[in-house]
Amino acid sequence: MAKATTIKDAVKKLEEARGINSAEAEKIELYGQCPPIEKMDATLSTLKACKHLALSTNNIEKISSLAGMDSLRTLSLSRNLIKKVENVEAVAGTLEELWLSYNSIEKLSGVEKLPNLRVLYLSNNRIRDWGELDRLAGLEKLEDLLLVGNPLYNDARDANTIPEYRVEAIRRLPQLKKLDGIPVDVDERDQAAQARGGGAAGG
Amino acid sequence: DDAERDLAAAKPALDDALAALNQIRPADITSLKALKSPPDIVKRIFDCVLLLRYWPISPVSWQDVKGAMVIAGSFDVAVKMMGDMNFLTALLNFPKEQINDETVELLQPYFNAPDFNYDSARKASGNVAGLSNWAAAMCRYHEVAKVVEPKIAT
Repeated sequence: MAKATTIKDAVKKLEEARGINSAEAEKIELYGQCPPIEKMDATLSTLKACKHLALSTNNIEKISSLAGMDSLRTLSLSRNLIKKVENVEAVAGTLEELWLSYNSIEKLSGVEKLPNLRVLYLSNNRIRDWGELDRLAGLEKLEDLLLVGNPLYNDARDANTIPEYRVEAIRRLPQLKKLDGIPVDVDERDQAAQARGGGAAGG
Repeated sequence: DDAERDLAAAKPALDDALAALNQIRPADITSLKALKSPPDIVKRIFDCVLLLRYWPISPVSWQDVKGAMVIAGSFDVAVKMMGDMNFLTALLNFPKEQINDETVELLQPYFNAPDFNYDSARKASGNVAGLSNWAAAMCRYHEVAKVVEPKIAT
């Protein structure tokens, strides 16, 4: 089996291919490395200006080594082998978008440590319990959530109950503006408010 | 006005993509499904369709195809997708407004392969090659709309 690509190798390759200085670049594209990246490491701490770190389409098993990424707003780890959201405290002050579709995440503990999160993409993971969404309730800025392809979504799709699933999600997360790519509409918001027992539909 | 001109500039690409889809006949899909091992590029084209539709896909692995390293396709899932009688209609009606930046990033490693273009796909697989144009046009639409729509809204 081929050796994994290290972050250091991937950054060097990017600098050579694009003629950039990685310490000054706002977008660092390390997606789809061949052989895949397996580990995040301390090389990331040199990416001081990076706002968007693209590590999608690799074989990373664990989130780590984000310390020093002082400007990070978008962390893209889609299509990796990640099981949980951990070690994100270092970027909690800046992180606005977390892309994690196509991983193996079952539980959402850890996400609550990202108070500035606006966007959370989680399609095709293993989320099956409504209780996992409750962990996001304190994230006041969260407006865009993607859950397509999780058991929670697939069960509703197979039972033809997607409208009910949406209202239930919005009941738990009233701050959402978009769910599964579709804007939350006034009717859904009213139904969610009623289900919450607050009465005052539309109020 | 700039905004509307930008969006108008994306229109021909979208029209081309829909025209390419319209060239694909249900019989093309049927014969493709019957292949035990379709050309490698076809598998990768179908991965792009799976990703745009949020269908499941395997963890990434790479393989050597004629001296070039390319992503191994998740063709078993693609076959399932083609089993839907309405597959082509679903693509014609694809909700392109729902595409997000994450999906576009997931497609880049496929687009970056040197052989990933309509002509080589066409040689390998005939009409279904249109799906590669379709996937590229969907991404292009998203990139343009993302810049243009906030301008129209204000």
